[in-house]
Amino acid sequence: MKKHARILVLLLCVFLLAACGGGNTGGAPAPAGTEPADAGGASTGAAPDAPIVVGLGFDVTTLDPGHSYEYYCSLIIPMIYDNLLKLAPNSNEPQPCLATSYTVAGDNLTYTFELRRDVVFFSGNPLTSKDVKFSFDRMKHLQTNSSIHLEGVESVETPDDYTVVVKLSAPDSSFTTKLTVQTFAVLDSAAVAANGGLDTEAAVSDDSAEAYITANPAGSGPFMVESFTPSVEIVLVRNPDYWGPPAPAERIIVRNMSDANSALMMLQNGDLDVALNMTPQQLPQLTGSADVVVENVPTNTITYLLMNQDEQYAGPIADPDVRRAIAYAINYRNIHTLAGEGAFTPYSMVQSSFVGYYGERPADYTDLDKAKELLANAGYPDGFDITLEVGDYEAAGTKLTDLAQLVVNDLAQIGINATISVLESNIAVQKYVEGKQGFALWLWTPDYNELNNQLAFMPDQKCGRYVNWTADMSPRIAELTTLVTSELDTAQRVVYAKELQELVADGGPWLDLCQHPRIVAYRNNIASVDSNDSYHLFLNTLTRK
Amino acid sequence: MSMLKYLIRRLLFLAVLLIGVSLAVFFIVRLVPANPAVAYLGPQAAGSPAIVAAFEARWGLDKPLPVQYFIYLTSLLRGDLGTSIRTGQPVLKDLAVCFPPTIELAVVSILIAAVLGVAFGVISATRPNTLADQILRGISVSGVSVPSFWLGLVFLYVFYHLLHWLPGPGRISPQLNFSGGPTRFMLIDALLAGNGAAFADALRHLILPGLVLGMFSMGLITRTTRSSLMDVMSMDFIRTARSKGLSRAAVVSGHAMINAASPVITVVGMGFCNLLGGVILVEKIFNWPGVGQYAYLSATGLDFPAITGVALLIAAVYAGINLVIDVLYAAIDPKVRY
Repeated sequence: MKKHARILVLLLCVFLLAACGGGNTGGAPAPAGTEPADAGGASTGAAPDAPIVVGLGFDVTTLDPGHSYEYYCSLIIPMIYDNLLKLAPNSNEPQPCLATSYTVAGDNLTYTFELRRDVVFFSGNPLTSKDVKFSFDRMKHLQTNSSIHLEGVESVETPDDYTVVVKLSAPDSSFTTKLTVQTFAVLDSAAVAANGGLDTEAAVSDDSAEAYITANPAGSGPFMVESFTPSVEIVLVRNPDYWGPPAPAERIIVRNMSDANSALMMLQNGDLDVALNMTPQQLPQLTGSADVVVENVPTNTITYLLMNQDEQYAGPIADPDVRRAIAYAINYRNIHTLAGEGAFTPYSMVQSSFVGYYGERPADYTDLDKAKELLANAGYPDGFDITLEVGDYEAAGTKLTDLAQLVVNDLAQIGINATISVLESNIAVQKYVEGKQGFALWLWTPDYNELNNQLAFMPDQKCGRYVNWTADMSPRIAELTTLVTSELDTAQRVVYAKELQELVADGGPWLDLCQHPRIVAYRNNIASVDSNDSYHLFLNTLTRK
Repeated sequence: MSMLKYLIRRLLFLAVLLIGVSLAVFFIVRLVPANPAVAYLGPQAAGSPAIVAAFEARWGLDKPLPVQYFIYLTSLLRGDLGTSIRTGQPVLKDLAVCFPPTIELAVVSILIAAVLGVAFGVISATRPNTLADQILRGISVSGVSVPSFWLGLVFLYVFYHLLHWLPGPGRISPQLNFSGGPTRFMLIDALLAGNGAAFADALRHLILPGLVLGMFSMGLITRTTRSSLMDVMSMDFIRTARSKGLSRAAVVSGHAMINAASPVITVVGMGFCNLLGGVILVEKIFNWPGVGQYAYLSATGLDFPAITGVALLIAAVYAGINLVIDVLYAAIDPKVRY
């Protein structure tokens, strides 16, 4: 047996070595022009027609816009589907897409869109206004996560094949931005309806088209889907019949890379072309890698402190003077260092890319003496004990628990003895939604990138309710919320928004800690890497040089 | 005949076990103080009562618990594991997609572990307390003690990044334009498609994660083989065989190994079970879309049907492999009769 065992082991080694032979990764014959593998990490598949491989934490499980809420759905859906209006690189303004133009009626409630006449879905069906009506009605009646964006849409009419009239129930200055989000993707109504799709109120219980749509995306976008494995990988191929400018890349593979270290190695070796899940801690290795380009791009992800309005949960934290003291106690510079280059702190709960942005809270805002004075005035000259709850999340690569530790250290300087309580993310959300969190650290990624989405933090709004903030507690803020939502004149909106932010920042239940940057790393033979906070990346501009 | 009766009895027991597991998991999972509706809808949508109600109705979460379990059990008995809340696909289909990659990896790992483990164990046992023995025992201890995720990263760094001997994370290179086939076993699908390049590439992708996972099992197998074989080698009949003139090699291979096999089979079987349960950290590092990853995403996503489905799968795997081990005992050891 010993002899046999040794022979077996020898055979196994020979087999392994034989399999290893050939140097290059991937047993395929090397494409012409590829350099042999060397310590510098030459890239395989460097031929211009090789697929572009993008790595990220791929959480997409469905290709039906009606059921898509995961983080990276907004990367994929806009590449397969078109909207009436869409975002373009380097601009926050919605651009014409399926709609060539639109007008807003005098009452600011009625939007009339003119459609393109040359759009064809993957199935071959041409686009007409009924597809838009079907898609919006279905989205509304499905009652899924994304349906909230249609709460303000009262009706969708189609006076003729190429005109769509959308009527809102109240003026909404962010409506055109909302239209660019995957919620408002336009589906091939004939194909979807023939396969279980419903646009009536029965959709919530009887629509069964999701499986069909995921297997046969009913879109008209710049890319078609060659294969899709939920949470693993999607292979996109250029749509040859696209009405718009063709995507430079013939084939793009978006792959799940759940480990940042493995992703880094693959990027350095050339097996990954674009990596979206790098963390600030990897920056030194990234900048030191040959053939890798690193960019710090701004996002609209913010981290903030939650301070309940109800004393029953918040204790001393419900006191506005205590909150002002906390604002003076935080060391914002340390937070920026943790979050990475490009991080800063907005003055209040509106991010820098939104209209009406107040500006930065200066990094040297910290003033421990003022903080202690305010605390003493509030009746806590010796500080107090409090629990800071935090969910196990990451904001653009920065752990919330690390951020919480910085906050706790800062509060200790003024006598507030905070203990961190780490909650599993689902439990944290549950408590948050029940309004029972007194003092917590959270992150926020907008559903749509417009000022109005931030109004969720205001009294009687979605997040305001979670801190038990009612309009009668802050009537002027509630009034300003309505004004900002309905005012269509940008200059006037900005005036309202700035007053709103000042009021909220002064002893309100939210303290914005940081607006986070994100790292985008890619091989230097990839061009036109256009990042965007809504769509993450414009896959339809990626080019291999 | 009695073997047949034994098998039938064991299979019946397996069925009862699975029902028991489904009951236990069903209730334990609902002990978490969080509502899946809130987890899936997110804080903004969770504030809309109509949407929450629609979600709960869609997933049957608005019914009383015993009713929910009854509905689940009746579907289970029909072979329907329910629909995953996270993926929207039938859980059975999800498992059919994520289990084959784990099986492929587990088979390669346990083969490496068994071949090396038994070989090392035999060498150690036949040369107790020599330098060779010390070295091999050292290797086996490190195999068991070194964290697999660390080993995975080190192997990747050395063999993939520095030396370029082996490919990186993933099951297959994207450049080959081959993403598998009907069976979801990359090797089998490549053979079915007649794609030799894909077969070789998939095999090469199996080596590093297979080695990493194999190291742990190998350590256990080495130790067990060594101690079991040493026990047997000290018995009278071995001394008799040697005194009759048989060489040490003939004694070990012909007489000793078969008697030492039972504990080794157990360890190999249980090692295989552990691997089939999915090893989430190694799967994460090597981008292996297996059961571990599915179980992790289901658990953190409060995906009740998926969690129960995975638990049932793993319970069935453990019970099944235990059954195979017990049958093997009977096959190799005439003293064992059921």
